Amino acid sequence: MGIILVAMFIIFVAIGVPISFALGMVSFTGIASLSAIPNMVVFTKMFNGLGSFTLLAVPLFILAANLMNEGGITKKLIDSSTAAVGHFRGGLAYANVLVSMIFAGISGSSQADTAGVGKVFIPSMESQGYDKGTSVGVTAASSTLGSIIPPSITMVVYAGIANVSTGALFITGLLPGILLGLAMMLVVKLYSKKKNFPKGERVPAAEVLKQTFVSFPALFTPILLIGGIITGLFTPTESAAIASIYALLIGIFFYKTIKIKALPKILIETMKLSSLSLFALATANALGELLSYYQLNMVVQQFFLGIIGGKVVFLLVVVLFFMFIGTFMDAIPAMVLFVPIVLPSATVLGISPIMLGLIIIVTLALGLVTPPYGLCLLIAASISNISIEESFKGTLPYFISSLVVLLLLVVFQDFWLAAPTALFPKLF
Amino acid sequence: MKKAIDVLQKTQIAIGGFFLALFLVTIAYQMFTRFVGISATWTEDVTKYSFIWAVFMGAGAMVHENAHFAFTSFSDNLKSKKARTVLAIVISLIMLVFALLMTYYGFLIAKRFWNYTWVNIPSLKRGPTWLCLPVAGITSAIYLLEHIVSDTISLVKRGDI
Repeated sequence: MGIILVAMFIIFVAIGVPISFALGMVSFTGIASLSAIPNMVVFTKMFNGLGSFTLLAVPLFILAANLMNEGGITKKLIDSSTAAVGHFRGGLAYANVLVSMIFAGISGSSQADTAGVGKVFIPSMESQGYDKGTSVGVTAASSTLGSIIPPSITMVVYAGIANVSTGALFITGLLPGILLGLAMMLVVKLYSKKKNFPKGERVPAAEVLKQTFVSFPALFTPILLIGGIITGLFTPTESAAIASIYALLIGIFFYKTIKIKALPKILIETMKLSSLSLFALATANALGELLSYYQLNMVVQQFFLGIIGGKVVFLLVVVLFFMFIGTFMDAIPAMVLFVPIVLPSATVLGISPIMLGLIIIVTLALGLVTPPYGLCLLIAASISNISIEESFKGTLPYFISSLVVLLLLVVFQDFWLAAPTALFPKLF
Repeated sequence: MKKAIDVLQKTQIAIGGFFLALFLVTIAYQMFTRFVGISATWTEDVTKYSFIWAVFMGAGAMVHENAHFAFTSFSDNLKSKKARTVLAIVISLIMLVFALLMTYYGFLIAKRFWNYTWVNIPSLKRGPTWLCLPVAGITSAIYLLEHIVSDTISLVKRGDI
């Protein structure tokens, strides 16, 4: 039966049945074939899977990102970053990465980053003379940071599944996230000579200061959110609500760019986007029931206990596995299905569940730019109207730089955990 | 017919939007009560159920827009328009089966748990909360049937069958 179900899933996904419906059909078929579990469970699992407290943050983070994009806050960040670094060779490419890093510190969603930042940067980079591949590549690659630099939707979901502290995961993700951004900037530096990237005009220092001052309320958001979580002032889920409320307030009263009339539209866009991810999560949850019936985690554990190499080999296999899964599945259902399977083996090997989570999250974030199914790549390619192949070619150098950072995470796993644990013992 | 279905979808989006708004207001109120130290446990139930309803209404409505995340390379690479339309019908049929199952079992579940009560508001029954399953199921089924019919009509019109 197992083989039939796997084949069914592969065929459904390959011909283009939406992932959520493919997951639902496979779990129904599987559960219907077992007399031990009533068929109804498929749907009660879907419903109850959505009832967890941590998931409530998902629409809140998407709302915060939509408010920033619609309310012109993203645009302010772009203006001030461009004013600050635009005059360097490859200036707009640097600014693109920089804005994505700041945006990631406010929003928890990579897709919202690609859409919001890409809409402005891709056309302006192209008109300044960057090739399309580079414009799309930098945008797509840097928007993966949205899931890695806290706050992050995928971290919230992982924390819920693995039962670890979201705050701890956020703090541990901060340094690797910044490092990933810097690695991408290094690639920009290397390529700016080779590909002769254009440079913008130098903006007078007074103007740069003015722009920074204007965008200060936006720049302050990451400090507010991360600070609030570290000090325990609010929970990570609440931080999502605060991000939305704060974006709304500065959009209405400070920048005066959000009109009350536009709110229903923003709300509906938020509902549409969150329901797509969360419905897939719901059906993945039903399939999770089936996988746990087959006790796949025991099989995986047996497999890993049998091979030598320890933690690093295990984590490399985890990276390869999730990289493969990430090419055709969204991060959230992928974690719902497979984190419960790999987590027990990782624990047996003595790997911290926080590091396991971070490594899975970075891997799945990279899956957002790998074809055929990489949402950030698809969104960026559609803004520039070029093929997926060409887009991925442009993304590749930045993707490779991220892989190097990911490898550092795997090899020196204890190192990344040491500082946050020492500094914020209360979170762990 | 098409118009009626569009109205249905708009209504469903509006209902989902309403539940998301209710969810947001309750979350904000919940945070407020926590900061000032008042107990408002009812907010937990309201946020949870309004969240679930928003997701199911949105998921149903998105079936009409063909917006559920799918892997489209195979279909994009099909040369003939006929083959693409036939494939679209096959996909809609598979989705339709799941939508109908969700409707049928959704009703059964709502019936079975109808008289259970909410955790923090015991005067409310749990039954209506489960109805989002059959509602999302039946609306998705309607949208899918419409897609199947219009795809078939376009096949017939082009003389492909």
